[in-house]
Amino acid sequence: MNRSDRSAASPPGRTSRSERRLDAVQARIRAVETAIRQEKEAFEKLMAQKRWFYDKLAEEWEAVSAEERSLAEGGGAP
Amino acid sequence: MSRLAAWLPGPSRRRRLEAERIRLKDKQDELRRQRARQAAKLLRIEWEIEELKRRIAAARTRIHYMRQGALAHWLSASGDEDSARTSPADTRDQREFGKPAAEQPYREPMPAAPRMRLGEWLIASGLVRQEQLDEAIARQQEYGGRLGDILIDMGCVTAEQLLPFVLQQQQKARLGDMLIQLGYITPEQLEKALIFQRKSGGMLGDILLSLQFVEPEQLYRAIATQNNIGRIGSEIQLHTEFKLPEPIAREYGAVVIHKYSNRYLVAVGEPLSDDRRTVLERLLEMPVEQVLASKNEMELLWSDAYGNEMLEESTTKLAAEQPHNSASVTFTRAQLGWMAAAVVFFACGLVWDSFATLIAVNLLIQSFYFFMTLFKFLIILYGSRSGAQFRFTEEQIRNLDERELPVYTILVPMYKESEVIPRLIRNLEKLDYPKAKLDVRLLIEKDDVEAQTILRQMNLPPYYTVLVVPDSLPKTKPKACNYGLIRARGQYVVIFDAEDRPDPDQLKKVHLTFASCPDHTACVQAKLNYFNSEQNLLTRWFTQEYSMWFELLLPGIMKLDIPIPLGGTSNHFKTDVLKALNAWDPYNVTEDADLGIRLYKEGYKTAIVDSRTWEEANSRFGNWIRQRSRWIKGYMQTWLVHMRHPVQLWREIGPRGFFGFQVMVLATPVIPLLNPLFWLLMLMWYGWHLGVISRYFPGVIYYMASAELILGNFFFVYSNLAGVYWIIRDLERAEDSLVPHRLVKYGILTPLYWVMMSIAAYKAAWQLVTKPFYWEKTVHGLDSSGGPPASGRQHTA
Repeated sequence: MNRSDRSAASPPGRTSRSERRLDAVQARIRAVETAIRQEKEAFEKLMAQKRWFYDKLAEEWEAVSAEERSLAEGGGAP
Repeated sequence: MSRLAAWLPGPSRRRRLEAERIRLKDKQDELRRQRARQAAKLLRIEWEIEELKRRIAAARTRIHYMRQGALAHWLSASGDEDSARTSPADTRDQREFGKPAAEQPYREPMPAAPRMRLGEWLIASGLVRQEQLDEAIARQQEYGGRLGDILIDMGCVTAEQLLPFVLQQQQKARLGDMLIQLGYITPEQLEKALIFQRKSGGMLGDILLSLQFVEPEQLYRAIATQNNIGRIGSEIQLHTEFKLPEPIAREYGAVVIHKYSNRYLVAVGEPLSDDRRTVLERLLEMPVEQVLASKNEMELLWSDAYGNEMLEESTTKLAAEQPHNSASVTFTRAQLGWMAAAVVFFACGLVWDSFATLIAVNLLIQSFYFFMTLFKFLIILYGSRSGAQFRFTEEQIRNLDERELPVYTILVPMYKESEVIPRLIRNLEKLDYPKAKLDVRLLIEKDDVEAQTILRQMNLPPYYTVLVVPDSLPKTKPKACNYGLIRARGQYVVIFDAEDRPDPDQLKKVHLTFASCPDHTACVQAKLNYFNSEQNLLTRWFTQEYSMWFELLLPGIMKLDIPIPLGGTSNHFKTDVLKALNAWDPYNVTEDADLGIRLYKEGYKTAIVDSRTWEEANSRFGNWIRQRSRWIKGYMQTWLVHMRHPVQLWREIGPRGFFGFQVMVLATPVIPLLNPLFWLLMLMWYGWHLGVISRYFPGVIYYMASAELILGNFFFVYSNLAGVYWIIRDLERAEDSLVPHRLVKYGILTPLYWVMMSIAAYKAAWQLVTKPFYWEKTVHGLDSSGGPPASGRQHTA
């Protein structure tokens, strides 16, 4: 009786060793998939916050440089 | 699904399991890639945010001064103000980029104000037309140089016509003042940089760059203006027929980039003095126009102009100048002759009297085992003594005068390890060393496009240089390191692997060690250990082995003054000595161990410093075998190289050095090769009580073999555990639990680790014959922890 025969002959209700291994590998795949998804979501949120902050700064930079240009040309604050 | 699987025939289920495992590996790879991409993106946006903040702060300061009316004041008094503030002698000093702060007391500079540029002045004066100016600017963008010179070349203006503008520009401010006037930095930023300079020394420009207060383009344009030279262009097409011989170019730090009808255009990293420029003009037999290039631009230019020479030097210099020290030839004819003679002698012995021959061989092997074990025991005993390694307290490090610290070159060779790049950058950024005195050189192979792309996107600070090593054989880490070393600027140089996490104070501790040692100490080895010791059984064994090696064995070697086979990373060298020794052997796959022996042969010493670099332990069997087989093959190469003339070696390093060399370099590959034979004999004796075995272990041999079996094996397991305890004790003092006590119990399974070593040793022996220079690549980034935690890693004794 080879190993596969033994696992096929395991009592009903109990899983064979290879099946358990398969389940374990599939569970790990699911865990990794979940990690990929969750990390992606978390990263997107973080990047959205960073981009928002960057955009705010970019707006501020636009305003400040416009003010500087205006002053350099002899005018007052825009 | 699982029920259905139960009905599948066995082989199908196994295939499915295999497929699922492959899928799992793919998913894990995907996760790693995703993390690397995310880290790179995050770093990039954070740097961009910092840049914006800096610009806004600079603009606000300028606005502040403008509102106070300082602008009008400055405009009305610009020329007189400059000349009133500076004497001619001062002006000369101010041109010296990066004079120590103590000699340059900080004075509040005048605020930013727009200066009229040459082009604007020429248009306003009606001397040139807009289209002429545009053409001149286009030419300037190509190779660089001063706009005025280009306009004169084009026949648009004469030198006399430019004179009023040049005279107006003659009085140059100091660099910091210029940068403020140009609006590139704020007075507060200059103040900060000068405080930094007073504390740590170094060049003001480098400090401003390292603090990211100014962009390289802005800084170098200001320095070029200050020195009355042009900036390099951005669309250079090098013509190598004009290039200087490489040694001259290296001496002058100059690359010829173009030849005009009346002069050469020469890129320089620092403006040449009048004397040096004159010598260069004599060599080239034509006047020279200098254009200033940033450090990174010079590196790129140098690679373009002298890439072949650099490659040649990094690959063949050692073999050409010291063939006796190069592993480019694995077996010499004499060695092959000796080996053949030994085999013939053995065969004749077997024919003549097989019993006596085998007894003699067994006696030889048992004696070898016995003395190696005894010598290693002695080394470890010495290694456990105080004073075997250099230790410094936190106070000593705090009291170090940073102005005395030299420029430090860090070489990081990497190949297809993009996933660890963000972690690498973070770890290097944590180093407690003035950033302006760092010269970090990331060495990337030409076909590693992914790493090049990621590094380009990261917009690294200017003390990083990304060097692309051209494709050529042998494609090894030592060749890449040699390539990176050629233009290293540091007084010291160290190698870190991409996944390394050195203790933040390591560079300072090494400086203190060099300062405490005699001049002929040319190398300081830091201790290596693993941050992922708890990942699996393999990483636990590996941690035990490394703990013994770096905590006890290497310090013992230092104490006994015998040749040290250096560890692969975190070995710090005096750059001039390293270059004089022709650096690493590109044909040796454990170039580090070989270099340790060559240093010893030349009379240089190596010290061990109590500072750690945390690496990633190999966590996969196949990966571990690949790495270990390379190490063992390298030890074989090293032994063969230095034993080409054993009598000469004896004379060079003396009897102690000679025996030490055999213990460290010969025993490392030979013992795992011999072990399986004796394990098999032991198994046959205990399993089947074969009488024939006992015949070959008579009297003394039996007692020696028994002592090795019981005491020798106990000693090797015990020394591993002692090494682990050593590090646990050190970490506990720093309230760190990275290496836990529970690691000790796995020492009992160490013999299984020895079996793996034997597998690797046989693979190494096979490769030594078939592929001696082949570099078995170790995959990094397999730890699940994502690297060591940020805190609690700085240890002092």
